[in-house]
Amino acid sequence: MKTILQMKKGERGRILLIKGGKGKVLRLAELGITPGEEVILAQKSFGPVIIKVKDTSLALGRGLAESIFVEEVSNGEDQD
Amino acid sequence: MEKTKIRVALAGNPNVGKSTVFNQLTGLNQHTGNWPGKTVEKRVGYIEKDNYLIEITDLPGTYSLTAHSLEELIAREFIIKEKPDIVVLIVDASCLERNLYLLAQLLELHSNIVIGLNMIDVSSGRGYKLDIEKFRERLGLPVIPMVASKGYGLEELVQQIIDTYTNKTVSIKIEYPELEDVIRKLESLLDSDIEGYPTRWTALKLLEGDEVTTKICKEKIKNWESIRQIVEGREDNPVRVASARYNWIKKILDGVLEKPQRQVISWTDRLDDVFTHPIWGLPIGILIVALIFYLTYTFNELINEPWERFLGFFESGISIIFSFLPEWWRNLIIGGIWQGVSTVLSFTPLIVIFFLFLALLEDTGYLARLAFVTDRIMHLLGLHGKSFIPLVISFGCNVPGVMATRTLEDDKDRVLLIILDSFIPCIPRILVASFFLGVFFPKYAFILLLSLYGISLFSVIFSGLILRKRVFKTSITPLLIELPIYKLPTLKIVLLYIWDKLKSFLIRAGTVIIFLSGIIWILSNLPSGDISNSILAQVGKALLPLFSKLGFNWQLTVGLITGFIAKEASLSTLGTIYGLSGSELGSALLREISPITAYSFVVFQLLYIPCAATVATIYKETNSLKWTLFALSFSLAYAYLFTFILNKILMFVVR
Repeated sequence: MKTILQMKKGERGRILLIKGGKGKVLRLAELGITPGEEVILAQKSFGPVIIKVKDTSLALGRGLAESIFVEEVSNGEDQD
Repeated sequence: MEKTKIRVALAGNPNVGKSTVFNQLTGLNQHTGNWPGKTVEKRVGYIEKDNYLIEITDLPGTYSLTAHSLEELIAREFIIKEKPDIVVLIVDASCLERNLYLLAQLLELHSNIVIGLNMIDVSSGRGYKLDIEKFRERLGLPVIPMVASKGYGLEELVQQIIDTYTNKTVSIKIEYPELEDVIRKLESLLDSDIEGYPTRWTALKLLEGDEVTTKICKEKIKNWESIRQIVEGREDNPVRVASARYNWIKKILDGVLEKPQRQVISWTDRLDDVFTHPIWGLPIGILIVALIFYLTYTFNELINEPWERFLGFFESGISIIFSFLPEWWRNLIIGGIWQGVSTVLSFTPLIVIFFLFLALLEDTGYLARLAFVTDRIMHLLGLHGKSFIPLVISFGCNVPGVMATRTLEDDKDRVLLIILDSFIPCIPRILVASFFLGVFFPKYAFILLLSLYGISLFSVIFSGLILRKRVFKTSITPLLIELPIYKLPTLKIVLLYIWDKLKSFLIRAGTVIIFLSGIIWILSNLPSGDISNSILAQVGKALLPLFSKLGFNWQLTVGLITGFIAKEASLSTLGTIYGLSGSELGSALLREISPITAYSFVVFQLLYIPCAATVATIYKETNSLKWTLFALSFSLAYAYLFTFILNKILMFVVR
C-alpha cells in the first residue's frame, strides 16, 4: 500500500482508502475518487500531481495526493 | 397571441460545454445579474419557438448538489423553490460515469429532466461506443446527442424541451439496494417534506453529512436524536452513498458504453506532456502570460492614437451641443463628467484586447493548467494555484481581478487574494509611472519600470506571508481542479466572454468614476474657480504634514487624492494645478521636485490604495464593510511605511 504521491508517472493503482474528514472524503468521491476505483498517475511535479480517474484528469495538491492510498494493479500494461 | 412560457433550468458539471449550450441557444438575448443576496453570477436567456417562450436559467456548474459551496446550494435551491418546468442536464459523453453522478441527485429533486449528451465527437474520438437508444431506455429519459460548439443537436434539444413540456414524463425513483433499509428508517422518522425537499432526498443528504440539511433537520425535527444515531452510526455513510450512486451508474452504463481495451493517446495527453511538464511547465506558463502582456500593450499602442482622436472629436461635439448652457455648467459637464466618461472609454481597447487573450486561454482549456504549474509558487503567498489567474487579470484592471476570485471556494482564501490583488499594478498605474520615469530618468525609465514590478511582487509575497500568519490563521487549502480537454476556441464564445467582462467593467467602473469625477470637479472649482485655493487644495494642504515626510508637496498630495477616483487622474490633476500638460508639465515638475521624490511618488501611487471602482467591487464581492475597510487601511498603511523607508534609504544612499 502506498499513497498517490509515491506512485511513478504512468503507474496504475486501485484506490483503497482516503484519509480525512467526512466532507473532504465526500468531495473527492463526487469527483470520482472512490475506494475500488482505478487511477493512473499522469504527471508529477515539485508541487501537485495529475491523476486520471473515471475518464477525467484532476490536479491534486500534494496534501491531497498524500492522503489517498492505493494498491498496485498489475495487468501487463504497467510502464515506468 | 400570448406565448406559453416554459421555464428551464440548465444544469451540469463544469467543463461540459454548458455555457456553450447556453450561449449558442440564447446568443445576446440574455441578461446577467446576481443570485439574490449572493455574489454568484446568474444568467437568464430567452428563446422563442412556435408558440413558446423558453426562459433558460443557467445554474452554476457543479459536480454535485451537496452544500459544499455556494454554487451547489444555489443550484438546488433554485430547483426546489423556483420549480422550473424542465431541468436540462448537459453531460460530457466522454466522461459519462462521473457526469451521471449529478443526474442521480437531480432525479431525487425533479421529474422532468432532459439530457443533452454533449461532446459525442470527443467520445467517439477516444474510440468509445455508446448505444444511445439503449441508454434512453435504461434511464427512461429523453437523451439528445450534441456537439454544442459546432451547433449540432441544439434544435433537437429545443424541440425536446417543448415535447417534454407537453407530455410530462413519469417520475423515476432510483433504487440503492445497499441503502434502502437505512433510507426507509430515516424516511419514517422524517414523515414529511422539509422546506420543500422530498424526504428521500433529505434522508440521503443526512447520510452524506450535508451541513445545511443537517442544521435544518436539527431545528425542525422532534425526534432528531434517533435520526442522529442512525446517521452517525457509521463513519463511512457519506462514502457509502457516493458508492451506491456510482453502482447505479455502472448498472445503467453496463452494455451501453464500451471502451476500447487500450486507451487512445489523445491530443490532450500529448499537449499536457509539454504544458504540465515538471520542469518546463512553469517557464512556458510564465512565457505565455508575458506574451499576452506584450501583445496587449503592442496592440493598444496601435489603436491608442486613433481612439484618442475619436474621443477628442466626441468631446468637441459635446461642447457644441451644450453651448447653450451657462459656462459653469458646461465646464462641469466637459471638465467633470465627460472627463470621467472618457477615462473609462480610453481603457476600453486595453480591456477588450486583454480579455480577448484571456478568453482564448480559458476556451482552449489552458487556464486550468496554469493553476497546476503555479500551485507550488503560489504556496509562497499562502494560496494555491487557482489564485494565479485572478492575479494575472489584475495586471489589466483590478476590478475584474477581484471578481475573478469567485473561483476560490474558501472564504478566507478569497479575502486574502482580494487584498493581494490590489498590490498588482494595473495598466493606469503603469501609465502614470511611465510618465514620471520618462521625465525624471529618461535613460533608465525601462529598468526603473521593471523595479516597480519587482516592488509589487515583493509586496504581494510579503503581505501574503504576513496576512496568512497573523490574520487568516488557517492552513492553505489544497489544490483540487479538473483539467478539461484542450480544444480550439469558438468565436462566438470568445466574443460573448469579452462582451460579458467589458459590460461589467463599464457598469461597475463607469458609474463610480463618472460620479466621482463630477464631485472632484466641483471640489476643485469651489469656491473661486481657481484650483490652487479650492476646497480640494485645502484638503491637500491639510494632509501635507503627513505626506511631506515622504517628500511630497501639496500638489502631489492632491494628485494622490484624485488618483483614488482613477489612478491616471493624478496626472490630469497635476496638469490642472500647474496649468500645463504633457512635456511642459514634465519640465515644471523637474523644477519643483527632486528625482528621489518623483520615484517615491511613483512607488506610493503604485501601492497606496486600490481605485474607487475596485473598492466598490471589493465591497460587493466580500459583502463585508469590515473586510473592505481592512483592505483599504492595510494597503494605505503598507504603502506609507514602504515608501517612507524607501525614501529614507534613497536619501541616505544618494548623500
